[in-house]
Amino acid sequence: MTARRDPDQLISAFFEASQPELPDRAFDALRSEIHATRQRIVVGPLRAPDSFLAVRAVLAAAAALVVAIAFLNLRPVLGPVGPFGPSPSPSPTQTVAPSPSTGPSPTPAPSGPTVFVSPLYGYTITVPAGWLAAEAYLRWDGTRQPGPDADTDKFVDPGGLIVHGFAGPFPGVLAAFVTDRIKANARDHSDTCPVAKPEINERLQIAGRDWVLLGWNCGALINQAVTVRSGVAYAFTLRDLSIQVATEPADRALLLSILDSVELPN
Amino acid sequence: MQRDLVSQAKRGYEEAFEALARLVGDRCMAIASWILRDADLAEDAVQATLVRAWRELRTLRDVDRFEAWLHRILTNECYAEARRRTRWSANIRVLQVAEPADSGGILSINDRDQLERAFRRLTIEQRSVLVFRHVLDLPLPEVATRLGIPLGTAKSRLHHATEALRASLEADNRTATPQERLA
Repeated sequence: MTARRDPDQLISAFFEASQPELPDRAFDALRSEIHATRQRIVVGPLRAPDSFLAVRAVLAAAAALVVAIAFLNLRPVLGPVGPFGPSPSPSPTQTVAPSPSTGPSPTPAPSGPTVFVSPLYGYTITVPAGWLAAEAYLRWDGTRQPGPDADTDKFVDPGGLIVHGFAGPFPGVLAAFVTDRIKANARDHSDTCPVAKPEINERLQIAGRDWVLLGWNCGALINQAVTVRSGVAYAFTLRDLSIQVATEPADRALLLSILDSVELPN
Repeated sequence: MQRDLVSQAKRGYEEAFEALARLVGDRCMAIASWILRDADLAEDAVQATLVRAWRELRTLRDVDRFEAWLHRILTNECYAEARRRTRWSANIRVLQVAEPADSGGILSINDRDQLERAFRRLTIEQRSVLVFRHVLDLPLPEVATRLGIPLGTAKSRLHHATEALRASLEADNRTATPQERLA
């Protein structure tokens, strides 16, 4: 006679069998896909109270920023001190000590404006209070047009804006780097940026340094400011997913203010 | 940590989402493998799930419910994958698992084979309930929530699916005559 076995126990044991893990190729493909995929924006009459509050907070913050900028009368040619730049007297800023480059580990948002020193690229930048900062852990390859990826330092606004910075050797002058970035953007982001030529291509002087500001409408606002110093090219890109234009006054003012704080290594 | 990553990813921070995918990817793969019983289909379903999750992440109301929300998407992608693929059939090859768990030796190879065959004969919806109940060890109300079905429907599917698996073991328990074995 065959002993009766507990079928439920057997069924439970059946489900204990291990299953395949997700292979690395899937994560590699995912990285490319999310870079080319825009997040759906939730606006208007919202179902979720927390999302509604978040949108209200973003709008309130943006309005306050516009008022602050108007009050401070920012102009394209900025002096040495901007709303987020270093001030002559001791100020409640904090220096972020980047964590060891073991991977993407953003620095928690401190309470005041934050001075960030890029471990890979050597520049110093001051970002507004409440922003997250994460350093690049791969060096830029010198050719591609990166987004907020592993080879860029990233600065994230709680409201959704992202500024990312990168740098690398470049033998030419600023005009040549501008041409280089326009071509790189057309090559690497043709899927999201339908127009290769930027709508904005403006030479500026910020804190005594020559910059060029490029602006694309890639289904999101992309503003990239570039400069060259001592054989090294630097680029800082602001991405605003909430609007589909190449330029917007508040975003422009914010980027210029951040650039005003940038100090490049000798 | 997952909560922070979800919050950052909701703001468009791609690296946060990549880190999040690393945290949840294997579990999603396990769920999809159980439901679809095909590693290639499961990988496609998980990849589609993660891309869709990235795209829709800002619609997630409660960041603490990320995994439940993700599992709902994953199940729908598994169903879609099953409908899309013409090679889907009850006779596809047995999924090669890394290491069959030995549960104290109570599950013989024959038992596993019987259960595997019975499991494959279930509908994909019945499999989903079994997987969320037994693999994720979730209480039935949570299973219903994650699958987006009424609790009564979840109970019914679990009951019928479990009965089918039990029946396969009961049938195997019967002593078969040589003639029956050859049938």
